[in-house]
Amino acid sequence: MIITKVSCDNMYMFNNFSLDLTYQKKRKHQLSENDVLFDGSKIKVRKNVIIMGGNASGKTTFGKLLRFISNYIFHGQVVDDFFHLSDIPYKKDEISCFSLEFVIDSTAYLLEVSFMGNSLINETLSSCKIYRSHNIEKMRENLEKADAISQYNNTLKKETKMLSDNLVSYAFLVNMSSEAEHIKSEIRYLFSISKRKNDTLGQYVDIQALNDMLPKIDNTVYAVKPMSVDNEITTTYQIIFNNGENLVVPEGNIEWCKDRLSHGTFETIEFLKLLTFMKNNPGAMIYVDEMLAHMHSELEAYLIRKAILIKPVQSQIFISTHNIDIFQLNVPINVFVFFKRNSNGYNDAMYPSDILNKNDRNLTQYYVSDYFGVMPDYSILDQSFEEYFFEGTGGLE
Amino acid sequence: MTKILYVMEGEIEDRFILQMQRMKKLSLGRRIKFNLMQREIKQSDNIMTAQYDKVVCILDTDESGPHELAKLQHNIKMLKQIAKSGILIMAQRYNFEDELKRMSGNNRLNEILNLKKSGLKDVKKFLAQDVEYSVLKNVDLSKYICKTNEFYEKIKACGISFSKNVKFITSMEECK
Repeated sequence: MIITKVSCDNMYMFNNFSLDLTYQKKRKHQLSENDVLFDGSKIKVRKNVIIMGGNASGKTTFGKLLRFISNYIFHGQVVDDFFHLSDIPYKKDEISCFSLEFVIDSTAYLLEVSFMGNSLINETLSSCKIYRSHNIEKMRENLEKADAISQYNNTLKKETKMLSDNLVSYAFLVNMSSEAEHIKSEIRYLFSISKRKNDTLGQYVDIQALNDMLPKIDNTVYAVKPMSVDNEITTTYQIIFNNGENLVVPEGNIEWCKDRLSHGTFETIEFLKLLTFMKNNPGAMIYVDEMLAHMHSELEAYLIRKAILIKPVQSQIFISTHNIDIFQLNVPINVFVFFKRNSNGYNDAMYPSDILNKNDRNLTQYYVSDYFGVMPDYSILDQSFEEYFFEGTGGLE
Repeated sequence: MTKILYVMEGEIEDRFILQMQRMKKLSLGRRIKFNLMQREIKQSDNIMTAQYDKVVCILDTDESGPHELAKLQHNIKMLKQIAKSGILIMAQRYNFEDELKRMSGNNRLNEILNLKKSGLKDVKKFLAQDVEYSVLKNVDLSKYICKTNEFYEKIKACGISFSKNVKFITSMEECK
């Protein structure tokens, strides 16, 4: 599944928000060659997205939004206890809505949903075939004209009907069509959102790769060896340190023994698992939220580029980071999207490639100069620091 | 690349300087809002966080009595700590709105900006948004801050002097 556009209203801090991941202008960069929807298609879509922005600019909540929608489709209802439906709308007594335009093979789908609390209000799922000659406008025109595969509307009843305690999809649970079944079978996703709750990656441990790479990144590690239970190799492994100590990682779940490792080593292990997942799941959507925050900035940049190169052509990856060394990466400029708080206090997104027309290697300079108007102004904190910490001394006493 | 900091009083100048950077009339640089004539910089202020090659100060001069000039003198002294190769001063005659009138040779701001409303509040609100100065045909941007010297003379008359690496400039070109 490749997402081409996501929109929402009254969800988290997104108000009338829309992010179109397609682009028109041809990029010369080699990595852009895989951006076509499918072989021969004229439609280009960002399959590698690097999200940057200040704190509370919406990077993590954008991941949550995608996760929410993915859950809605995959499970037919929002069951993940990561979500509390009451937390999602910004204005609690107003309707929330989202739409997801996505492509599987050469078919485009549009899912439009509005809901309030756990009550579905409207839901439409439509689809159209994409031909090689189609550009994005034609695809969207056809999607708009297409008959709905599934439609649910309860507004005429003047009340919202509760189908269950969860927010339940009509198309993906109550009245499943063969097309909805097909979509569900094609959806694979992985969200790693700020360590608050990672998807289980335990099964994606490649112990051989860990053994080869971890000692090169952390020189306190001597080796990583698999452990067997009843003569069967499992995902449990041990990290052997140079000082002779051993650390057993049960079922590949490093969370249980993270205190023994440096933050950077922990993040490396988690990230390598994510790369293994990505390699083994072509077509998956992956959202990596500041997963390498404790890593040296150059190593983070190095691993992010590796992730982009490892990612199968049919997959889409979103990576959020604060690391401005990322701008030095050999990637096309249109992979970057900047999130910010707009003047109304809501989260917004913009592409620097819309302002800069070339692959400008000075992107760092543009970003730190706030050329795109996305950097927060920390001067507003000065007065508070003066009041609570410096007590009028100006920091020198 | 030279690392530049632009210090300006408010949102209107901030947007203007950004537009000038986008139009390549000014070099790329970080912008921080700080009223150099009204507030004194403290060591703990965000403006003192990083070091730059050049610091460019954009001043409003509509209130420039002895108190304001003393504050400016203090602030320039502080900014010298973060400006490796010098400080440039761009003085607006009175304020940005006045500069805009002068640059266009028209006293009616609503006409210059193609606005229906002519109240100063409406004009200020408009200028605090993303104004595309490149489409304002009657505005001669080369005239911006060309009256800096008047302010310099006033400072001199008050007996205030600055060191050699503080330069008063009369065009954006000198900033590059």
